[in-house]
Amino acid sequence: MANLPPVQLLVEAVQIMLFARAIGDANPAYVDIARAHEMVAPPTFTETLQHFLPDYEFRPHPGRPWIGSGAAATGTAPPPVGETTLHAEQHFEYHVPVHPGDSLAATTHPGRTWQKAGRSGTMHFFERITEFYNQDGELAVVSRLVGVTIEPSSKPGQTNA
Amino acid sequence: MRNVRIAPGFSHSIILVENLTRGQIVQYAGASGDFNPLHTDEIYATKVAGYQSVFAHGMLTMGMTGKAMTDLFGVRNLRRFGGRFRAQVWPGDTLTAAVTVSSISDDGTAQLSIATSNQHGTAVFEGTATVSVPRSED
Repeated sequence: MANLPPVQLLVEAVQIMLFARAIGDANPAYVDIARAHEMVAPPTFTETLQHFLPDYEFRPHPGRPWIGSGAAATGTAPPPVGETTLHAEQHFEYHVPVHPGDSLAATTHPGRTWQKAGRSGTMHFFERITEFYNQDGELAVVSRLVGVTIEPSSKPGQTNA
Repeated sequence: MRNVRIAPGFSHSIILVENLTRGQIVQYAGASGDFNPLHTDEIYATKVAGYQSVFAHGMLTMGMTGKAMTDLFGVRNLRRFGGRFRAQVWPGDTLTAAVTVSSISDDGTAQLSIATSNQHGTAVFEGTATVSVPRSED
């Protein structure tokens, strides 16, 4: 995976509220949008970067085939049988709190890769590191994803979790 | 943030969700932006991918787990939070998170171990965190 250009994540009070609802956390610091200036983003909120990735593969795009069901069970070619990619680990470092009104510049780069023999095939591990800098140029959050592709055949597939 | 006496061995458990619904998984998809049909589309998950049903995003489990720490220590005091997804989380699951203080450092931080498990006692997420805590009991 090559380095990707920076993507801006705009942090909005309502999006924090919606995210907090989805994780079942009624913390007033997440949901009291009448006092947005006192709000703070939950620890995993930077996941909403997915909304800002222009070609994110796990969001339907108008006019493009979608992997999920419509008239048929899938709108694209199904992945090779037995092959799957899963979210194995996730690690965050927090440097500066994230608040409504922030604009975070996210830069993603690949990290280490390694392999292990698993029960159902070779397990290919990979890291993806994303640094989020706020509008003041401060490093706010670092995210390190570890994914694993279990490969009975020989091609990487989609990320499933 | 609650007033708790933070000492090694201190442990706290909360129920994160009872009888997780497909609706909440879809709600998380909408909030996070990850609409992977393995989480949102029962037909795809069962007929194409061969799973028993849709299952929760790992990040939904981790996101819910965060509450176990932030309720105690406050969001702004979290320095590090990470872990491993150990097992899939299915609709109908009930999840409990346990946070235990492993150690306290001279730099004013506490190290926590975190385990989220389902109604069968199977760990679904296991990790660690670092939080800033007051330096003394004053």
